[in-house]
Amino acid sequence: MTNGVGSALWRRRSRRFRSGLLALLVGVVFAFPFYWVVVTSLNSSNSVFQFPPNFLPGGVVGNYAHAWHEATWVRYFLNTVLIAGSTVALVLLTSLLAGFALGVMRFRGREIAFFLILSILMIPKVVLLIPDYIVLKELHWLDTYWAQIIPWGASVFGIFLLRQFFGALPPELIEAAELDGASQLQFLRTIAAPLARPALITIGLYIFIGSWNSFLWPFIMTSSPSVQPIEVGLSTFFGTNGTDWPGLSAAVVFTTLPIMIVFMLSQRRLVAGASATTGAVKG
Amino acid sequence: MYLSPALLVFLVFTIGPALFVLYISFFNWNLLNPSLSRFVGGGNYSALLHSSDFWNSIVTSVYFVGATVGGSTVLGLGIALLLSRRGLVRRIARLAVLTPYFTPLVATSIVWVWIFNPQFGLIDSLLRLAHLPEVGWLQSTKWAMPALIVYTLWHDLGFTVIIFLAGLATVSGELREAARVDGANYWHEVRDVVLPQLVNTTLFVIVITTVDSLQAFTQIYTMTGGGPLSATTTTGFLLYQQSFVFYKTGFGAAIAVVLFVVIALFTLLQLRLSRRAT
Amino acid sequence: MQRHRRFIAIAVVFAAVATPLAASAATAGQRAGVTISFMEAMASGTQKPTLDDLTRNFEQTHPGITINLIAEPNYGVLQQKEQASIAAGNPPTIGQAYENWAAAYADAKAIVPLDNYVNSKKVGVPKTFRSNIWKGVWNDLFLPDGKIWMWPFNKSDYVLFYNANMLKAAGLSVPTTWARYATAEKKLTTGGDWGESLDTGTLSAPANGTLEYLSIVRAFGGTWIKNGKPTLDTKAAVQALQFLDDLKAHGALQVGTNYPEQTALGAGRSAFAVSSIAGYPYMLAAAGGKFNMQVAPLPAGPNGGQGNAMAGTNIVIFANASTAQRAAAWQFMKYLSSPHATAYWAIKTGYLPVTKSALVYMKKYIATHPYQKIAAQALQYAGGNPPYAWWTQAEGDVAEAMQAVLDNGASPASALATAQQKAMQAASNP
Repeated sequence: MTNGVGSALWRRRSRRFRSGLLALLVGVVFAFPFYWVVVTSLNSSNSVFQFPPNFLPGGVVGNYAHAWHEATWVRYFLNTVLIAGSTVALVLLTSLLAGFALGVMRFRGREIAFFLILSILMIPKVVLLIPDYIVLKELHWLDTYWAQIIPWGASVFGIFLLRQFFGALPPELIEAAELDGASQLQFLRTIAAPLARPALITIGLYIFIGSWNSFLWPFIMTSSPSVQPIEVGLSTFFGTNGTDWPGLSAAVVFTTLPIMIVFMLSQRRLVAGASATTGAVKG
Repeated sequence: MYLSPALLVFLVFTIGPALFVLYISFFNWNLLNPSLSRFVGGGNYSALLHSSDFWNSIVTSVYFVGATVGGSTVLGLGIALLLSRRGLVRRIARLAVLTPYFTPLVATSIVWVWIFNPQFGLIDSLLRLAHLPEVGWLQSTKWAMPALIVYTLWHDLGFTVIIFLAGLATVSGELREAARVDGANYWHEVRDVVLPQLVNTTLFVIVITTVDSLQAFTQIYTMTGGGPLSATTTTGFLLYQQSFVFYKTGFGAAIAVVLFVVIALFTLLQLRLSRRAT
Repeated sequence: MQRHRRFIAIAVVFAAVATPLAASAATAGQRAGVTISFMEAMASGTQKPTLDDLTRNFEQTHPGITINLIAEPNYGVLQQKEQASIAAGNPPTIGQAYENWAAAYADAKAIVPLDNYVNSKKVGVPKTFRSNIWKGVWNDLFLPDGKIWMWPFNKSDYVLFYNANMLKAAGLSVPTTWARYATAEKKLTTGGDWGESLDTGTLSAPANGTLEYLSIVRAFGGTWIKNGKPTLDTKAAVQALQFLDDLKAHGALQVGTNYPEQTALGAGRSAFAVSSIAGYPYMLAAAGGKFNMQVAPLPAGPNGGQGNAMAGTNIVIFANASTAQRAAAWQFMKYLSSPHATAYWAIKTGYLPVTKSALVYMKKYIATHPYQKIAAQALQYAGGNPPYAWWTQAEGDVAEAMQAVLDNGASPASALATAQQKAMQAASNP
């Protein structure tokens, strides 16, 4: 190998090629389980159990029809959309208000309030299941949509993000509004909130996906398919069809695909939101 | 006030119940008929300290949390570095790495249960093809935890990679260029320029992933049920098992309190460390 | 269409036979206009539509009583939902319950005893019922205080499913003793196939494999409990676990999860599967006509010892129910155990009829499914879950002992000693 600029360039190029290959490998490893579940869903039981393993889809579409008929999937989907949508709306509202209060308004005990909210992040939801169950029962909210929306109506991520955002607003903006005689609520409504739209979209997406994927909470708090979300439906389906891998795979595909599509269309925003939060923590 | 809606939700569904859990941890609490509950003072806590199940779960938790946090941080940074450049291949790879994090745990754990199936699953079939010894995976007390960790990393690396990608984007391009001009090779550039600027990001990742993995439940429930032989029963899962399967509610509450204290201490430690590092 | 016609035929017979009972019940119900709720786990396969049929038929013959079925996906969820609803003070009227669950409910005063209903001159069961019901099923209805707290509904026990083609090809006949069973399994473990798969389950969710083991314990002459305390480390228990360990060491026994016995048998890779007879429709579906699947009774132990575990649940009435609801619930529970209803249930779901007289109405079915009679007769000696609240944990400890031996290479004696110690602890701390 010759020395000099040419060699450095060659080294850089071969590194880029090698790391590109590695990147491809990483991508394949991560994507493989998704490919595998699609393949399994398109094969019959016989070819799923054969050895050596079958890597190609067999064009058996019947599994989808069969799995679709085994449970009330449409209802599960509608439930999930309703719950997730309502939760997003509620979280945006509470995050806006709380984030504004913590980020802009000055009052005594502001730091304490923030620390209190942060400490709530640390309590594992598993810990609170039984007392929360009793609270929901007293409210007559068990086995309803309310039980799946209201307790999730405040999000630390949302408050965090908006607090950072509002805290970074130039003080001239606030002063100008004060001089104009606008109340804080008016300021929030007409100026601050519209400015925060990117953050709000990020929070909304994050909460929507989190709600779609939730399992333990609705599992404990509900018992009727008429109000249960999609993951609980899938878990039920798994419990009673645990050996029908092709059918199970089909169910996994059609319960996961919607949220995967939502994610893929919105990934830029989500990454941006994550960086904003990181920036916030960096100080 | 503006804070009231959020605080109300937190109060009713988080703070209040947390205090209630603390309260019942001092009782032999009869869930089915609370009036039959007996006050036992520190009885549950002393039982906890003498319980081999509890200490085993601590060891298991340290194993799980250590491996997932370590793996998430190191692999997350590595993959972020790998994928931080532009290009179609990297964009596709980024999408592949991020997607699992945003897909449901139940659905994806079911897929991996099938992949890990000792008789019919993919991994053991490949081992068989290569004439290597088969592994029991989720059936084996030795390999169940590694299997669980592999799944958890596959699912959660998307999150740490996003954070590190964001962090890398803020690393000064000039400094990196300067280092390269000075003759530093790639690894020196990473070690001397990039990493120091990522200290806070790394601490953030460590804390968030620690808190998350201490709360891990769904994949344990779906893939191993805490077994085999309690090999995958973390303290969080033990809590569920004692409270919801054996109905030793007071005992479970004591576990909950201990778990919360551990998490709180750890988070405070991180806050302290990051303040010092800034 | 055919199902519809058959149902009408049975319904007519129901109405004819049950009218006297129905009339008195109907007037009782009519006065109250009662609605009761039934929390159950009969949600899959043929179970759901069959229970729906029986319930609608009961409602039609008992106007004034409405029944809401609350279906849970499996027993694990059912238990959690029942417990949680009791804790929150809003349990259903009746629910399926295993014997150890009922013990916990009774301790918490959450359910009511049934003696007054069973022995009542007006609404009780006829005197012949006592001799009609299978002995194992009848004994299963009591808690240690000597009262009847449960009423039978879906009972099953364990049978041996096998691949007749594989046995024939190896020149083997169906094993009638566990010793011969072991020989057959070992002989059939060849060419990538093996004897059987089982799932021990976990501490919080023991599975079929644990009950297979407990059946073998009884066949070997051992007991599960004595004088209200667990006896998990008897000589027979150690021998039984050693028996399974030998098979595993030979490769004849494989361990798995999610009904591996069904998957393995269905894929044509294992020759045997030990499972509840209620799993028959699933086994048949898994076999998918690829081979001749047959059913035999569980083998006997040395000295001809018979051991079987009764699976399936009874029904309990929760204490929050009003008097009118309890009366209506009793009518429904009695109806479900009546010969025609229990026969219909058995034919459709693969569960077993709870009384001997029901077999009379199943003649045609038994002609084509002879094993149903065999399995039903095993109910005479099958043992249900011991009716103690601590049995939940003790059964989990057995599952863990099995895991220790089969997955972790522990010795049966030491694993069972540990299990016994843990179970004793649970039994001593109410």
